[in-house]
Amino acid sequence: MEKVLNIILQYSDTKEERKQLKNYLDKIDEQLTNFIGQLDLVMKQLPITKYSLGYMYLLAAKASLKRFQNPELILMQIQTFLLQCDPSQVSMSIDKFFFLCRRFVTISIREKFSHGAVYPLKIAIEKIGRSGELTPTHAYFLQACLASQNFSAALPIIESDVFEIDTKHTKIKIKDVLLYFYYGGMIYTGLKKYDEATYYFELAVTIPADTLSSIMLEAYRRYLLTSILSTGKAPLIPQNTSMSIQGMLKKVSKPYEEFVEAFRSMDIERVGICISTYMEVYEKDKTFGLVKLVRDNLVRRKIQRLTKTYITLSLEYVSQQLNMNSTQEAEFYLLDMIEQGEVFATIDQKEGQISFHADPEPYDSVRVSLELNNKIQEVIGLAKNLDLLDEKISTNSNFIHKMVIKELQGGGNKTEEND
Amino acid sequence: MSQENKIEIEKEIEIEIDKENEKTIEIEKEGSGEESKGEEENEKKTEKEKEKEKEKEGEEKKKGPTKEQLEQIKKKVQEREAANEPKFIKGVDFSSFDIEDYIEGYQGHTRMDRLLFIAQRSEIHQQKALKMFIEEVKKTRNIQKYRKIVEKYSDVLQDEKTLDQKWIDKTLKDSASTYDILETNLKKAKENVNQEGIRDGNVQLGHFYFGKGDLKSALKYYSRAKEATGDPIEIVNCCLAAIKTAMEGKSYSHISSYLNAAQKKSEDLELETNGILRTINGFLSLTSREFKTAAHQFIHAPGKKVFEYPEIFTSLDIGIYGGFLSLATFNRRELKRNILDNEYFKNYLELVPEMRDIIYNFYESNYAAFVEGLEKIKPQLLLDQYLSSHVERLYIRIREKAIIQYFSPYLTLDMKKMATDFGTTLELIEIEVSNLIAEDKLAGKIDQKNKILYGTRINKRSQTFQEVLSFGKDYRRKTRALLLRANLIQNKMTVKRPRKKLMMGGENMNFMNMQLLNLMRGFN
Repeated sequence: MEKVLNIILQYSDTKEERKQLKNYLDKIDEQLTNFIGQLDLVMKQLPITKYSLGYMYLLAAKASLKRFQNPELILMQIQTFLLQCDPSQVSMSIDKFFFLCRRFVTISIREKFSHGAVYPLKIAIEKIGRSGELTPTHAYFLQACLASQNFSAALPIIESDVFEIDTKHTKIKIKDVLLYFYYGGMIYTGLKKYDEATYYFELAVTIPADTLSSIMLEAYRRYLLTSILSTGKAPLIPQNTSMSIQGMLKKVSKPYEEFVEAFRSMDIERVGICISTYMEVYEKDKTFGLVKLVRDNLVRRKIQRLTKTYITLSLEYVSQQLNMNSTQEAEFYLLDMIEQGEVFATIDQKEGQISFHADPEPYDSVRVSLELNNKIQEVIGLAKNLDLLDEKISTNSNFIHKMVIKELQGGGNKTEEND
Repeated sequence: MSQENKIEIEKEIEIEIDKENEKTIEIEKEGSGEESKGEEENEKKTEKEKEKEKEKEGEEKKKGPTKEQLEQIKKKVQEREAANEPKFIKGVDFSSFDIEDYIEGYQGHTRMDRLLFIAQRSEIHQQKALKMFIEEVKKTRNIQKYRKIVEKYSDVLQDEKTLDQKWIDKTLKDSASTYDILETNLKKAKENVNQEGIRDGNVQLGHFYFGKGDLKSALKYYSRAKEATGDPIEIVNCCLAAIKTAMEGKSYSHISSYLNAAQKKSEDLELETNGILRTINGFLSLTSREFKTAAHQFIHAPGKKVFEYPEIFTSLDIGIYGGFLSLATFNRRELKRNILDNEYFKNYLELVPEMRDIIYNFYESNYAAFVEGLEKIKPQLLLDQYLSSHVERLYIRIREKAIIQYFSPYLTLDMKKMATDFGTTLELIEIEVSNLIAEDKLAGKIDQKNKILYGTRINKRSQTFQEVLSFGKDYRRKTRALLLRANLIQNKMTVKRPRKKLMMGGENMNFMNMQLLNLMRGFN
């Protein structure tokens, strides 16, 4: 170990040296685990920022253990490391870094310390990877947020629309991508933003796939549920789901498909029956909460339908139509909906009448025009991205090669763009 | 109409459609003999069936029916036959319907078919219709049909209960000898290479089999006759004979193909038969529920000529079908242009003054008279073989149109008055109107307390903003998803089958792979 320490101390100054250091460390990596006892000592002697690369290897070796006598210590160590490490050094051995983050999350969840993992991981994200680029740490970060129920911490990250993927740079795996969107959807669900949640689940489901992954399956099930919650309509399987798995998804999610069907029929009783039939499944999948929310939603949907057709309505009529037990229940729902802004109405308690109003949004304020402007800018940006992508593909030598062959074989009528 | 009624009606309509399928299979069984029934039944069934059965039979077709499968199919058909016996139409008073009046205009086999239909649908007319049916069937050589109906309805028939064995024997002898003569004629014509003779011989044999009820053979001979001649008029005639046969057998694909052939030949010629061909076109649209197209086709079918083809449809039919279908599908402008201002069609509409009155009342907004007339004509429409299964559905549509038209000039409307004008109660009209609003067919809102219907003027501006915002959001999402997928594919990242050696580190991955493997096993 002395030898290792010295080498680290010596070879950490210039870029060249660090490269050599990295190669060396890679070679002896496996042996490091033999010196577990001494690792702490060695690490204490290395200031983190200056010697991030070496420190990381040592720390990772320690973290690869299954059990710890002193879990708090390792967690502290990783935490400090993440906060203080030098990005340029660390990015030289990026899979080690991700490994470290992964272990960090796993251990902290096990030790019920996930809330402490949130901030360090966020810093980790910022240190590695360009903005907008998806890294495995994103997934771990979201996992920590979920485990600690700290949803709002995750918001700035997921709202920044991370969509770029570069395996060479980040060595990201498909599982991390899946997890990112799945967790993202869960976080939005926790924040009751069902629209965005549906979007993220949909993204998870439409990832190109040859075979079914359990993450995708869970995402699909929640997709169905959150889709109903946000639009009130029963959803179809996302259009761009890989063909090979469409059938499989549906087959395995029968309790949910049936539930969706029951919802589509707008029949409260039928929904109730479906829930009681499959209650065990929902509980096992931990989707029971969502399911109950959806059932609740059905009542609201029905009330909303009424707003479309009536200007005034009696509370009694509402409670009758919706098979409620009393007018109080109807009133309760309505109050809630009015507060949430799902319905525009006033209740005349004396008469037991409800009067509905039209949506008072006049769309003529500064706020609206600003919003529109922003959105337009976004769209222009996206369109530019698309153009870039298109150009990249059409100038790709493989693609041009294929096109030429096609045309030579006859019947070619595509236009080629040669740049 | 209340919600429950509607659902029941839908069910009845389904039953109607099934009945027609059952009929198809019946006739096929009678007609054919040696041919493999399995294949044929598959063909006939898939025309109008629900999807489940299509899949099952699609599979069976691919493998080719084995003996056991044929047995199974026969059993299935028999079960369905038993379950879908043509039922009487309930809840309608058919006493105003006069069979003899109705059947007068028709000739040939269609008399028989229509009478049987009436017998099966109208309880009070059953006996008379059956008697008349037996008269008609005896004019043909269709022994099987005669037997079958007599046996089936033996408890209803009184005098005719016993089979007229004399007629049966005579017909058998007659058929045999006629057949011999026709065969010989055809042979001779073939030997002499007499094209006209060949055609005629085939046509005669076609008529022969048609009369016997062997529809498949009839079609065969008509088709041969068609091939044997180049004269367009003769070709069209052969096609028409084939169409008649196919209509009796309810084989829509045949009807369609012969119709196409006939129309191609007679495209530029001003033939007498163009009218009936166009009418058949309308009929096909009707059966595939393209009501608006059918309306147009029926109205323009006769053209400037007089319409003459009582073996399938009469001119009254043109008036009824055309009028009824346009009432259900045209808006006011179309109604005016195609019916009220249409010189030629007016003549046909005059033949059915009740229909004419209904249309005029609708146009002039005499809703009370309109509703009354509509109810009055219902029995007649329900007993028409081809229209019956669509009547309820179209009635709902017509009523909806009337309500929408009724409300259109108003900003506010008292629903009580509306109810009386439409001959229904306040509750029922409220349900009808609320359904229309929910389906976006009526722009209005109900004030339940005062029972007033308010018209809403939609705020276009607000609507536009909403649409734009939502479209923009949609676009952004779709594009992002696209970019993501493109990125993934570019980086060659997809969800792949896990390799046996679990290479990726971390406990989670092991667990995940096990789950994946289990899932795979579950499917295979």
